[in-house]
Amino acid sequence: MAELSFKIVDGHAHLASTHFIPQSFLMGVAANMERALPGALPGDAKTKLYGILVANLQDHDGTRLIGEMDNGGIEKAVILLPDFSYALKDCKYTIEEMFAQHADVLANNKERFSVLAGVDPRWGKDGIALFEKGIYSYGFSGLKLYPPCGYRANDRSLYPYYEICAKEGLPVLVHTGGTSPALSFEEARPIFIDQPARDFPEVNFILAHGASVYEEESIMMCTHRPNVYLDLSASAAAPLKKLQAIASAPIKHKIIYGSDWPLFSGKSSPRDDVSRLLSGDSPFSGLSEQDSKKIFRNNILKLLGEQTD
Amino acid sequence: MDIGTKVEQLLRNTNAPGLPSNLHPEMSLYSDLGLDSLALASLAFQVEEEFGVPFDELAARVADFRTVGDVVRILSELSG
Repeated sequence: MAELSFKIVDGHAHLASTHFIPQSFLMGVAANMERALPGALPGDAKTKLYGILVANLQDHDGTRLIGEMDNGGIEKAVILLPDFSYALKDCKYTIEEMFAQHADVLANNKERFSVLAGVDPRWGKDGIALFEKGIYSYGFSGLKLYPPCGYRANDRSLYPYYEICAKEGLPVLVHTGGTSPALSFEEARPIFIDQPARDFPEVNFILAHGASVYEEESIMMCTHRPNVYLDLSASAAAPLKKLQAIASAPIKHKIIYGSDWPLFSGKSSPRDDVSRLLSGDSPFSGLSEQDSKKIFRNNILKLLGEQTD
Repeated sequence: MDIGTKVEQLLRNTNAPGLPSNLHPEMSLYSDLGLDSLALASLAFQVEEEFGVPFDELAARVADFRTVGDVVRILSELSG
């Protein structure tokens, strides 16, 4: 792996745990894998593929993730907790219980993790109260939104959450692009962040997977909205030309590295992912030291209100 | 046929794009051989059929398949 003179901060990771990802979500992923596999497959291929996914999602307390971080020179990771529990009714735990479990993981690893936690806005006042509990009692560092669950980032029901983030100086990370076929795709366009970004100029919004699907729209947003950023998570699955477009845009101060762990853990580690971005024909392989440090460390630290160097 | 030779044969069946003529134990399945998650799943299906390893046991170890040597070592454990 290309040597960096600084420790990396991963702006987009998850606990690799079936406690937080429902079966219906994973079965959708397995269905896509089954369709993509060539040749003759066993009759129960989808169930077996689901079994591989589940076996890989047993890191409920972050121990394995910390091992991967140590191996990849990653000092800290931002763990994201999307709330699937309103849209998908087969979640193992309630969102309140998932918040509490993430609080425990954070309390045990304060130097290694930050948490951005999500609440589906259709939970109403209870959801807002839970988000406040996450921020004020659990020490979470911002909001994670998952529009494929069936809402858009410009939904007015989210404005109370944005008001809390504005008051406390917290970032909002919003999923963009495709996901498990168990969910909707049409809500997850970057442009739906535009109105909230105008209405809350003091809140920093991060377009998750900004280099993977809607890269042109993401570049436009990052170029012209001072408070919109993007992350590189899932770019391993994107055509090279999308990464080239991101790397050549004048937005190095807006790009955040994210491994999307454990999304690609079946084939690579965060170390492999960083290596992929910094070597070979990657358009990020020739970055200056200054720009590398922004993308792989300082940009996300600034949004978290933490000290940069 | 020993396990190493059999594993090499199965890896070649995955049609991964980066397979060189000679495989070495330390080669990364991902960065050296070009396997992706689908190719790993394909490998797992082949291993189940060729080695008769129960799929539940195999699924739990697929995430540990990082190098050619890992595959040989793990299959030696599972089929031993």
